[in-house]
Amino acid sequence: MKMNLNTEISREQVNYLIDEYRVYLAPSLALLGALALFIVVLIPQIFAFSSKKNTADSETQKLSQLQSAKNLAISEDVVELSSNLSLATEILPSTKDFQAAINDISTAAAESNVVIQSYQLQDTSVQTPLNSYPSLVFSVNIIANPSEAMGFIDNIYKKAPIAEVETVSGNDTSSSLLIAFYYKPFSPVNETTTEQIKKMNQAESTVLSQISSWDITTADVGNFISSESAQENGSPF
Amino acid sequence: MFDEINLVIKNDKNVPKKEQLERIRLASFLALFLVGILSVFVFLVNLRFSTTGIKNQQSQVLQTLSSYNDTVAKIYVLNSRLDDIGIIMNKRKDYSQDVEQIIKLTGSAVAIENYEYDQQKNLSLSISSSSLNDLNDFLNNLLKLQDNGTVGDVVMTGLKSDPAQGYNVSLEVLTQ
Repeated sequence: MKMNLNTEISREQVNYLIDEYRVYLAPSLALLGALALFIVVLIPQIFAFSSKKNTADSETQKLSQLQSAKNLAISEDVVELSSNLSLATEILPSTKDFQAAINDISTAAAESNVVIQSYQLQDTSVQTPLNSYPSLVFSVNIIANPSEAMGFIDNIYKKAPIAEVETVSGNDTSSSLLIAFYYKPFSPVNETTTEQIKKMNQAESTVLSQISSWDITTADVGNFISSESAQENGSPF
Repeated sequence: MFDEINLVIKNDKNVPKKEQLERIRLASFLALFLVGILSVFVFLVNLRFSTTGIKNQQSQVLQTLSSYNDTVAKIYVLNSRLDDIGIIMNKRKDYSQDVEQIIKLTGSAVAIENYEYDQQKNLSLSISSSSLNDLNDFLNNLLKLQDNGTVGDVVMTGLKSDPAQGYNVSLEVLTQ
């Protein structure tokens, strides 16, 4: 009986409390809901503004680069571009070009009026500031005094493939040179590189005008691309 | 009994409860209003930073560019080749600036017996002449090149005199 009495009292109390505080329920739930919405949804969104802005900025920049690339590609003179590319790849080939290097040596010798005594391909690489570029290294002995050897170096510096004389030594009648002929495999062209294409800058224009004055006969770029494509890393196209 | 019938006193007890309720209602209204305003603000900011439109434009540009793939590849390769050629041209040893200048100083009166230009840009030179005056002139001109910064340190490592071959000077020249 005692238990029943307690139950009755509790029900009464509960009913009383519900009646008493019913009016608080709706505003309290609204307040809690607003607070929960603020904490769970709005605060993370507000904190994400910075990263969203960065993403939007980078995408806008990417779009701008792509539009510049498109304008450049449309306005480019394809014939001149092919000719310049052909010249540049003659001067810095993508692969080892033994024949071109030997031609380089013999042409420079002829133009400098020196006689090639001997030449030999070196299998060791030389330590230079340009070590990031692979090279073919030749040891060349010429019958030439120091002045003629300097003339030979001047000439070989204006030939394709591009070369660097690492060491030179000799006497009044002959000289020995260690010559590195540089090459560099092509980097693959993808969407990222498409964004990176830009109009030739001042330094690149200067280099182009310098190498154009070297009087180098170039192969047709179309033939070049198709023949290089057959080799590993020979062409990016 | 007095308490039970005095309605004024009962109303006084309800006043704080009504005020409390009004406050809670006002607070909930304000909270909902603020959350609403903030939600609109967040929506507008998200709309402002939306990348959907930009990505669509990128796709359109890429589609146009796809018909110029060959040209794009050529431009990219040409520019990177020219950059590389420029680096090599700037970093490779330039003999015309120093070694050639030194050799030109010898002229006809001074003969170069031996020379060696190593990878550390040191020029070892052995020169000879029948006249000490000519050797002296050569050395003075070499020191002028040093003064104007064309070459670095000049060290004389040997001086020999031979009645048959004249005078011989050995030098070490550090080029720039």
